[in-house]
Amino acid sequence: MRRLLDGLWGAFGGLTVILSVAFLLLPIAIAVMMSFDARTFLGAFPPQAFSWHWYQRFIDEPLYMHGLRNSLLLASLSTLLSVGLGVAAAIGLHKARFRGRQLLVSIFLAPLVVPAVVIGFGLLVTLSALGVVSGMGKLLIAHGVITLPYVIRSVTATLAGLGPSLEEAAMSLGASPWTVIRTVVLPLCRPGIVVGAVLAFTVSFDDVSVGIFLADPESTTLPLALVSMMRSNFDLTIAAASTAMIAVSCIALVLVEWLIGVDRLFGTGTTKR
Amino acid sequence: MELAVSSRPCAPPRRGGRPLLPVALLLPASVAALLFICGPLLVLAWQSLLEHVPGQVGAAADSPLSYRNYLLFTSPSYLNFLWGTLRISACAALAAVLLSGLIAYRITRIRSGWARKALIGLMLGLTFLSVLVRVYAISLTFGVGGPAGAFLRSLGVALGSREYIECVVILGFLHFLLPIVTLILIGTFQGISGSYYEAARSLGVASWRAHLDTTVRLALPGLYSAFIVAFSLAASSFVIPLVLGQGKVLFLANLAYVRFGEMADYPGGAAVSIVLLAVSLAIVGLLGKLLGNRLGRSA
Amino acid sequence: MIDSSIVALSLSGISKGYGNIGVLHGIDMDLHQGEIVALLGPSGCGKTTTLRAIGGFVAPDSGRIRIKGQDVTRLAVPERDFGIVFQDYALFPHLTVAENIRYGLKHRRYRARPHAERVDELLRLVRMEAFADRYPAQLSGGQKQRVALARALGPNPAVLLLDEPLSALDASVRGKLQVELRQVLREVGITTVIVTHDHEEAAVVADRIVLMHEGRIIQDGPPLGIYDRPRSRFCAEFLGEVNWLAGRVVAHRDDGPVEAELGNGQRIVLAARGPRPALGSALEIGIRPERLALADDAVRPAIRNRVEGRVDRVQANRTNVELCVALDGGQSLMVTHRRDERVPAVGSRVVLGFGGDDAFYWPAEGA
Repeated sequence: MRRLLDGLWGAFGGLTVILSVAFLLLPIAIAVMMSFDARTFLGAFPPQAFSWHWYQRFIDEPLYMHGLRNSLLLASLSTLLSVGLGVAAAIGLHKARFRGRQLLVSIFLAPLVVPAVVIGFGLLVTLSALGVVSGMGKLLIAHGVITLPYVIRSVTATLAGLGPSLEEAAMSLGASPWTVIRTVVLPLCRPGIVVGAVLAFTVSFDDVSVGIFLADPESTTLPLALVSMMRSNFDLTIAAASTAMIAVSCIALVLVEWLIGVDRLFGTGTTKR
Repeated sequence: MELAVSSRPCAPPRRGGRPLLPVALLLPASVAALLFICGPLLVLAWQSLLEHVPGQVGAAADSPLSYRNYLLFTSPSYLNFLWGTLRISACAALAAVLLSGLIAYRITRIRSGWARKALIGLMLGLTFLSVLVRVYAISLTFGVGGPAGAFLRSLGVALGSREYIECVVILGFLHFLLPIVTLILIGTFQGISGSYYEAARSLGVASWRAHLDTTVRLALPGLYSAFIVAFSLAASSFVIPLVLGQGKVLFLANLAYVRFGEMADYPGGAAVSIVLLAVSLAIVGLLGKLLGNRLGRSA
Repeated sequence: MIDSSIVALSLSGISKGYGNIGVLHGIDMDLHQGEIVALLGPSGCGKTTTLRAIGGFVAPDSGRIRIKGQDVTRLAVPERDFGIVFQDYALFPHLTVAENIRYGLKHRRYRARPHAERVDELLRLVRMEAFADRYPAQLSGGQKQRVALARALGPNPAVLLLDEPLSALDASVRGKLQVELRQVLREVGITTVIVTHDHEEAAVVADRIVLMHEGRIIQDGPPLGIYDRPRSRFCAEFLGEVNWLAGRVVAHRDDGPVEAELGNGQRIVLAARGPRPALGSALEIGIRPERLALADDAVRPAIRNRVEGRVDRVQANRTNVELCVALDGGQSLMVTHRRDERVPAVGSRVVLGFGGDDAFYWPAEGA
């Protein structure tokens, strides 16, 4: 009898896991399937005939294309910005020991904890006060802010795994502090920088809650366009757009795996070599 | 907030004055942080103390500082919104932790190396997925035309009812939280040796009881901190309640946007934002530290 | 070759403290060109701090450091003319073996030879020519150590610092590498400071041992010299096994030696070491186990002293036999000798002998 209960319990556990994974994957599969639906209206699932016409509509819709262009541009620029600032800051933090250091670290990482709406709204008021008018400019600054912590955290984790003797060895071989950074620290930080950059790009590309306060019609992004469509005209063009975004996510994941391996994301690790 | 740092200081304090390099490296990011992280928070706090004149955009000029905007939260509707936010987030977080715990436990106990890697990769990939795709997929599937929606409707469930909408919102949160929390809990369960459970079993204890006494008991601190993370993420969420809530479920973040976008009431919106920030920090800070310590010691 | 006319490295009055804790108290040391000196001592004695101070990784609170006459105390690490091998070797993982060595040549501005030639020369020196294009991750511990050595030697520095260079290796490999290390250092002729906690390693590799304890230098001399003539109980015990006896001075012999009476009434004669302790004063006497011989059938004319006792325990390993002998009066002595055919039985009585020169002694404390 106890054996039976144990078996049931195990089966229940297994079933729950399978159902959960199904729950994670099925809706996405449904959305992808529906994006190929030949019907010109949103009909009941499943689609009977398939066509690319929703994708055609997606490409033809100026709002989406404009948004896509903006999103890609914005994500690239803000990634560059936060990688530039973030790598420098992470190395600076690694080398410096001063009293306010922990506080500074908390400030850098704050956007991870502060709700996005607070950041968006706060930046809106601040940037207007500072006289920043351009929508893209405001978005760039905002996305720089929300992506910076990912870069800093990722690079810092890699740096911690290096150990101090590598830098001391380089100095003993005649390298000035800047040369040590250039020739030893940066090359060995590459995994952390890559992971940080990929995360930054993804976060920026996907952002809605910050951008919704700051974007104007000129600088609207793809996610923002999609959100407004979802609330007004809920059709399958969004499904096509979603499938495209899934493809982007897959590419990001493959990039990370190819460049440094998925397991590296779970802790510090020096280069693959 | 702690960053991993190596224990031996690598550069000695020099009398020759070479701290310039780290300072130069830190300067751009620090200036940006002060201006664009600290600044907005302070500005928002200040803004929330100003007055708003209906019909005008933003705060009235030369308005005196007052706490009036915060009195919004004494009204029953706003208290309802606050309660709704906390209630739904907590449910979603709890469900996420329970389910993720099961999944994470299973994953860490899989013997085949490639299967484990594949599942972890799947979870990781799902964290990269855009929240919009999730939200859309869920609303499609559980909406009127979707398979789940049609099925539930045939069972007599009212798809337009508030209860159903809340459930869909929770499902949306689950889709967002499950991958992240699973990854966190994989770390927790990896650190718990299977020998404890096996020892309990060898003493004749039933499977479920053995798990409760060993695995779950040992994982409790990790489960709790995962719950805190999930709760905080859900409570400060914007997009999921925005799209899935269909206007009937409003979270604090949505409220702030409503005051800003529809009513041009910047001070009011700022006040709501500050309350949201306080709630978020309270979850992570108070709840996390207080009960987390107790759990950490007993477990 | 050691050139005694040139002082390659000089430390004077180096002191360092962290907060209230003093780590180094007035370290003075001079190394001649080509000398290999070992800083030896237990953990926490300050030897690593001293080494790091020479390199510039730690700034002393007071004192001066000179390399080849140049005062480097205020100079930054890259500006000092030295090379260092760390305990974990610190090879750059993203560079090949050859590129690792080239790194130092480039940044120290080595001009004497084309870099490619110099790299080959160094690889030949440490017998790693076949590994030039490998990455550090593909090397074993011993191989990494050799590359680290070659890299440090590359720019031909004035001083070489080694921080426990062999401690990360298996015991089986260590012995061989100790000898190799000394050979390489001798061949290059570079002034070397090696930090180690292993006294055998110090004895194999170094010309001179500086023994440190609690931030101070307590003895300084050639390996055998300080082994045979330690100046304190700590020095004696750190370098090997010692038997301790308590005695009292009973006579000063005319030809120099000191006669002492042990606790059990047996009398022994000790060679003079400087001014003789006063008659009647208490002595602490130490004898190394290998200096005690079974005197029954040994025909050593130099044996002045004989003590009798009963064998309590016999322990033989592959090379030695260890005896534990209880003297009349309660004292136990450890005796070590080569494996002969004759090993006394447990319980048998033996006579142990040792020469007046075989023991070291000093006034006992709290006499």
